[in-house]
Amino acid sequence: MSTIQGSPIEPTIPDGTGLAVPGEAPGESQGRIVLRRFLQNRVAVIALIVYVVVVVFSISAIGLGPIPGWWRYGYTQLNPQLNQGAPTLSLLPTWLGGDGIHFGAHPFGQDRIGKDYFALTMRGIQNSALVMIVIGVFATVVGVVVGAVAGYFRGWVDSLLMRITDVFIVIPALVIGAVVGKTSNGLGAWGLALLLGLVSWMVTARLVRAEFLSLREREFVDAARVAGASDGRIIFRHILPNACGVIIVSSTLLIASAILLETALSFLGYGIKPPDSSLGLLIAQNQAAFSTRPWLFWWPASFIVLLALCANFVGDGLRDAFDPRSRRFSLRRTREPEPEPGEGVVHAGQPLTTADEPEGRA
Amino acid sequence: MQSVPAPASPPVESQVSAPMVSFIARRLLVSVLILIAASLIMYVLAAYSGDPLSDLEGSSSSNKEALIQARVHAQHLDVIPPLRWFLWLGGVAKCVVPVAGGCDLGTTFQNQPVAQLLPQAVGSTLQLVTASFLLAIVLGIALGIITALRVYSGFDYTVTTVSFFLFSLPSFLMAVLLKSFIALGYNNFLAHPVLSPVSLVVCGVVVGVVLQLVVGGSWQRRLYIFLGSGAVTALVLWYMSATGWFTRPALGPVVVILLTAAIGFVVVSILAGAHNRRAWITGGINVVLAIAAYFGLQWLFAISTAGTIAILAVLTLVIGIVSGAIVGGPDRGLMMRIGAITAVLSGGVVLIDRFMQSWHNYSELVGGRPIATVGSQTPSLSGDVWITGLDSFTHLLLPTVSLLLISFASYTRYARSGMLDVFDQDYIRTARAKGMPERTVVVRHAVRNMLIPIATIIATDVGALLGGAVITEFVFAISGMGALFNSGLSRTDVNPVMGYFLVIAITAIAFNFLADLAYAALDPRVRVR
Repeated sequence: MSTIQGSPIEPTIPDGTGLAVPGEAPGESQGRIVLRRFLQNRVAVIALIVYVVVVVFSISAIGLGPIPGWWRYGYTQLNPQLNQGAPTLSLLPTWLGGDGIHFGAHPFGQDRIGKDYFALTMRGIQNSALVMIVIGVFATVVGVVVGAVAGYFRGWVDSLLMRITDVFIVIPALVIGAVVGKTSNGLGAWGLALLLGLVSWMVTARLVRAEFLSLREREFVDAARVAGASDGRIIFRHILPNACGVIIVSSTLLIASAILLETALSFLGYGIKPPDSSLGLLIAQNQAAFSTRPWLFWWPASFIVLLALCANFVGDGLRDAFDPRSRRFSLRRTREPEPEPGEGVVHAGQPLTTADEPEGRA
Repeated sequence: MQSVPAPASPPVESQVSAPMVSFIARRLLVSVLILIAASLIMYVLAAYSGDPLSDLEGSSSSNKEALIQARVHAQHLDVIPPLRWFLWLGGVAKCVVPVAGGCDLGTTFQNQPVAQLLPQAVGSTLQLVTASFLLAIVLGIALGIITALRVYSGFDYTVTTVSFFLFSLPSFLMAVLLKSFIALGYNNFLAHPVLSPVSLVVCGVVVGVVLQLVVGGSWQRRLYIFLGSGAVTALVLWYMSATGWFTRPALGPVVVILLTAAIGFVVVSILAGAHNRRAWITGGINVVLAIAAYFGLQWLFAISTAGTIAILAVLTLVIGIVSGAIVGGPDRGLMMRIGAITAVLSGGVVLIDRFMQSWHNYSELVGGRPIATVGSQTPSLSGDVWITGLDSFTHLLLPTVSLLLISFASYTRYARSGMLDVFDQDYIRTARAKGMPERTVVVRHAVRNMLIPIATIIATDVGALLGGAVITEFVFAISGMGALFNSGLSRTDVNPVMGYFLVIAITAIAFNFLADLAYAALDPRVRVR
């Protein structure tokens, strides 16, 4: 927690703090610097692209709400079993001894009662992604409001809000998630996501409060107050933009943990219920069939890991991009005072502080 | 709690003083209030989460109405949940007030008192989580330190990638994966325990690649390490496969001697360095004693009970400490640590060897498929302490591994970033500047300071430990705390859910508090406000 308090993000960043990327024009806005640092992180950018592609693909495949998708089967439709329900997807071209690249009738196979597994998996991705994003957005909004009010007004408001936060934080996420998930029985993915969001805002609130406590003492806040700005204006126009680094990073990491929470709850039977589909639910339903139909396990499992991995990588990349202190530390560099050849500019007086290398993920 | 560098820091003795006492008292009061409020939220949410009578309403039994009446009466279901919470709280208050006589945490739908179920559940949860928790800490911190020493190397990137992968792997997936593939696969392998040449080569290559990444250095050195370790691994595995080691595992006298000697060597060279003669003597005494115990105590092991083993374990620790104290010298504390660690580890080798001797018998007893996938013991299995010990081991192996893999990734990250932070400090530069050997800088200056924040993380995690692993217990059908919660919630049976909540909330609050106190005690820059 002290690291958050110790590293307020400057509204404008003076040159020579170790943040400057070599060749960077002075006077760039913070947003552009962050964007540039994020884009330099190849892993995070690829993870973001993969995440968006997977979600868009799943939505386009089976459609959204009343809009139909391009895939020919629905996720509730029962089809006759073809070849024991084995996947028909083939990726080996004929000249490599495979069957050629084609989708076939049921690319991901069929489950025991003949439902098309591709449609089920796509629906699961859709639901899991929906729950992830709704939890992320909703919990972030609640957390930011609670944290901002507590940190800005301090005093009894702060004490009260932080004690409420403590009350919720005492209950482990999975436990309160299970209880809330069971309550949301029948409300579908949206209901589950909103209720889970209501019980996942605590960490964000604490981080935002810490950020506000330090930012409210700064000169630009005094200046705004002297100029006659209202409390709301100071909070939302002056302090909040400066706290957005903490907020964005914590909400991305929240999204990464949200998919694990959702799939775990669906696995336990407290999340999304059949006939709707979720990646965790698919694994729970087909647990017994692993030895005979392993594809029923591998498709949802790999998509859960893929989505969570992408969210974690993006969150990590954002954290590096927003943290002006993040730097690449090297033991070798402390032993040998001179910078290695091909390294970025090392600022005088800060021998340990070097610029991020392109692939840099600290 | 604030990490404020105190300008005129008071002497350490004055820390337990009037402000400290009032701080603790305030903290306690607030904690109790938080606990009460959280229990209200939990109770109401759990009570409204479903219909507690649904199983009876769907039943076809003739006395359905009477059963429903009985449950409504016993569970006070006619009272609305917020008011029912007061009834429950009254029962809990009896636990705190001694005169009221006995705890009343309510009963389950089967009329079992929750207060009686809890100790049992806590016991099996502790049995499940303790090993994985300790192993996760030790392995995670060790791996974190190694990655920090080899920062931005291929090894570091590999570990980072793997730990991200482990972060992203839901625990149920890990558990199901282990259960369906590792357990079945290994049991099937034991039916024909011969490794094919391909798998020998694959194992050798994997071990070689990992080791050359860990050791690092020039490419020639890496190549030699890769070839050497790969060849040794493949040869050892081939020997094990050819001699039927997998069905009759044993260490044998030669391996025991080599292993204990290696343990002594590693412990001494990490903790004291190669030039410390007294450390070598301490380590040597304990290694020799362990080898002597291996040859001299087999008759005792054969008639041992769990109590005997516990006494021997304590004795081992005491011998280690005492031998260190006798060798002593200027650095007595260090010698005692070396003695204790060497004694316990090499004693462990002797113990493992003895367990291995019983493996074949155990394997025969359970029909040749030793790795279990459900429960925490084989029903109606009888045997001496070694057999039952192996039985617990094979049942807890997979859940422990699945918990371990998930939690140890985060310790690796903490330890790595902590080490990097510490390496950035002035006192490390000072230590290097005054010519300390790198081992001293890392072990005595860096690691100790890196452990301060991790100590508080560990304390917080201990608080969450009793919550058990709801999902792991569910997948492996272990009846611990998680199972108590899960089965209670699935029937909307509020009392066991609340009993579970009480235990985890109290431990979480208590250990968070201890974590703060530990931080204040370990880091003199922190002061209590």
